[in-house]
Amino acid sequence: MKTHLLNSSGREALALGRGEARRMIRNKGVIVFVLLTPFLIIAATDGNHLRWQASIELILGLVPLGWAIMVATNLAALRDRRHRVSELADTLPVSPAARTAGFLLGGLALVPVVAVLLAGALIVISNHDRLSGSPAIDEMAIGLLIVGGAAIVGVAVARWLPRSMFVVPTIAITIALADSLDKSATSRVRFLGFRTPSSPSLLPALDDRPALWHLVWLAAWCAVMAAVALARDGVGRRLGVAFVALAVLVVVSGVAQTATASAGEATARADVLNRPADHQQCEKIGAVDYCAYVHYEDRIDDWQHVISTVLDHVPVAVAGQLSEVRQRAEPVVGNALCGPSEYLSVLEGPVRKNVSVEQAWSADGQIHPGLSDESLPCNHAGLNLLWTAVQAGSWAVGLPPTRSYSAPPCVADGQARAVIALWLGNVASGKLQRLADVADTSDTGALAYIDWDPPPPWGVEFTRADTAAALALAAVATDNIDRVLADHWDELVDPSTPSARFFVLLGIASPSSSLVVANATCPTRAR
Amino acid sequence: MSIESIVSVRDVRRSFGRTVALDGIDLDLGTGVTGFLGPNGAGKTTLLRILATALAPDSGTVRILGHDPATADGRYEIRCTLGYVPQEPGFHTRFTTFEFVDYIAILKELTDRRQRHDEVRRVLDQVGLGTVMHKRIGKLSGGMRRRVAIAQALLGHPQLLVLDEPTAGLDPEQRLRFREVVGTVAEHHTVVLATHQTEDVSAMCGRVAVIDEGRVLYDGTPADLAAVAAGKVWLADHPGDGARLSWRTASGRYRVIGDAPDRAEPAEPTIEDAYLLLAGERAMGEEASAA
Repeated sequence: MKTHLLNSSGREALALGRGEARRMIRNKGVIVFVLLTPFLIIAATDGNHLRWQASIELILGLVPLGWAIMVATNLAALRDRRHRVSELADTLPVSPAARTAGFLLGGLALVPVVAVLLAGALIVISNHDRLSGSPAIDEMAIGLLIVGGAAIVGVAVARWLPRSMFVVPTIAITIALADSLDKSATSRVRFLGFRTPSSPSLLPALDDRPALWHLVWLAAWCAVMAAVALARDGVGRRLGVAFVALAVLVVVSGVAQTATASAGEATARADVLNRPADHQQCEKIGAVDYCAYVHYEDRIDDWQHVISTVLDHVPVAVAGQLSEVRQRAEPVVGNALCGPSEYLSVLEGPVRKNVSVEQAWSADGQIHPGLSDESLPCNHAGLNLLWTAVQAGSWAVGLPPTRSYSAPPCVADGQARAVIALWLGNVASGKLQRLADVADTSDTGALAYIDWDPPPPWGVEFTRADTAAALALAAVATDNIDRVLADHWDELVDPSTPSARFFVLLGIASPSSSLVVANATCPTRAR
Repeated sequence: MSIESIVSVRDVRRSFGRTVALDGIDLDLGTGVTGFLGPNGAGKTTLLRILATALAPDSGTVRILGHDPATADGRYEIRCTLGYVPQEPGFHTRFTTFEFVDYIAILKELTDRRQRHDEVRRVLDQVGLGTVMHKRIGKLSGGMRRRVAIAQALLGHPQLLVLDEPTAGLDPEQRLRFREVVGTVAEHHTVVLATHQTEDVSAMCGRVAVIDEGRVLYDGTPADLAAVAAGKVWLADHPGDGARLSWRTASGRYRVIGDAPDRAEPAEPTIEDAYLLLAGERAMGEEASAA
């Protein structure tokens, strides 16, 4: 008697699987979700600026298709029951286990379709100008197992809970489970989920993702669920052995994924922040070394463009002092909920303990392009490269370009050099007006970035009045400004020189009466 | 093949809660067509489901083609040689006729795709559905669906064909065609069918068993069954006092089963007369026992 699939040839299961596969591929509901999936993948990757990150996040776009397939396989496995064919089917020689196997095989028909979708996504990601670095193909492969797993779960639920209504709570459970695991952003427990978002640290070197173990983990669970489905018709010796083997695989892969970093590994990873020079690739352009982390090398051209544009407007003697531009993580980064998070808080505990904030975010007065692409997707600000451009302007006038981790940004209210730094940043990026439009204003008159993801990493807390003054300079011929800067550079970058003086030298009226030096806390020369 | 070696039912009992569906059935079936006649709730369908391995008896023994359906191996062997049409066959209404029968063919272990498709076409042609094989079952009439059910039962040339009211909903032409198909199968194999259509029994069955309240009231040939009513069937102008059953016929006269009314003429008994007589006698006997 072919009670268990493993005791039979499986030819019937294959034949049934082929038929189910054809029906699955022609299922109109599934087709709709397949057609929607490219758009969902695009939506899931929107806001990413690394190919590595996009290849991780695109998995989210496959989740609705997974649900659709779960429903479809559930209904397929319940088809005999729903249409009262069960009595007839039960009098036929092919065992229920073989029928279950047929449904499992048929449910996997969409896996090749998903592979095609992923291949398309890979081509798009690899050729997208906005993205830098290289994609993580092993992370994308997780999508195959998520969709395949959904198909298997749909069948397993149908076999044990033979009512189509039970697929709804099953989907709800998967959502709740994935959500709860996703929230453990700094715990390795998050890898026990189906898909694991990329770390807000934005540094692949700090996000130790056990992608291969995660594939093993998901594959083992898929196999376990398939065995659970088959076990409905009895657990034979072979199925029992398979259960035990799969349980071992689940435990091993689960432990491997969640194992805390050893002291040595934690130190090595913290070193990525503490000693960026050891982990970055540098490119010498002119006299300046531009250094970026792996996956960020493509950004160097952009940095070089805005920084050289800034330097074109400052005296050659000043510009010549720039020798190195080194990428550095922003002290505050955005999180998955579009809110700000302290950079340290998004690191795993053992790594966090080994990070020296004095080393990683030293007040060295240098230009440090960040990890974000400065486009602030959550705020739709589109401030591309304004962060770096204003840093370059601040560096040129002697203001601190970036803030240190613990010290708040300094104040340079009414100083001419503050207005000049902003103007230089605007000349290079053209985005200052956009910033002024979307930023709030604090009680002290400073630009405020409430719940920004992240706020600008500048070493200066610029005021709205100084921003307005810098924007007013857009009406003045750049040549005139360049001439005044060249003739009066030392005076204008002196902390005691109010911005009103700059306007006097330009021969135009000040846009505001508040352009006087007040409460300045920034150092005379930051570098 | 001898009678005993095909289907043997011994003292089979089956209850559903307090309702006794089968109350000690004994039967031996051989090659040819055997019809089960009986009123609704008589136990015919329960007996057929047991023969089709869809249901296990509470007690008693069943042997089919030498196999015991009480064992897993026995059930498997029986199912390999069985064709079954349930009383209310379900269909995957979104499937085409071909797809549905093909699905059942796979469940009958016809795994070679080409051979299976040939076999599916053969049985669909056999029941006259060859021209609608690519039509969705949901769009077929009730009679056509019944033919789909018969077609799937014919897959693989089953040695035992168990048919529960197979002709319900068939038009006269299709009923004739069905009789022809069953007659062909029954030349070498065993066909068991339950029906309310006594004319089907007359036309197809070499043997008939009248079942009521879970018991076999009669087991023999249709001609012998009709003979049971010999001398008890009359045509008269009124039912009379001694009629057990009577009804007005199209000619305006009454057909009376029981004692002859005044001025009655004897009528040729039919299977239906005998069946009604047997069922009526049993009911009256039980009433007398209760009194």
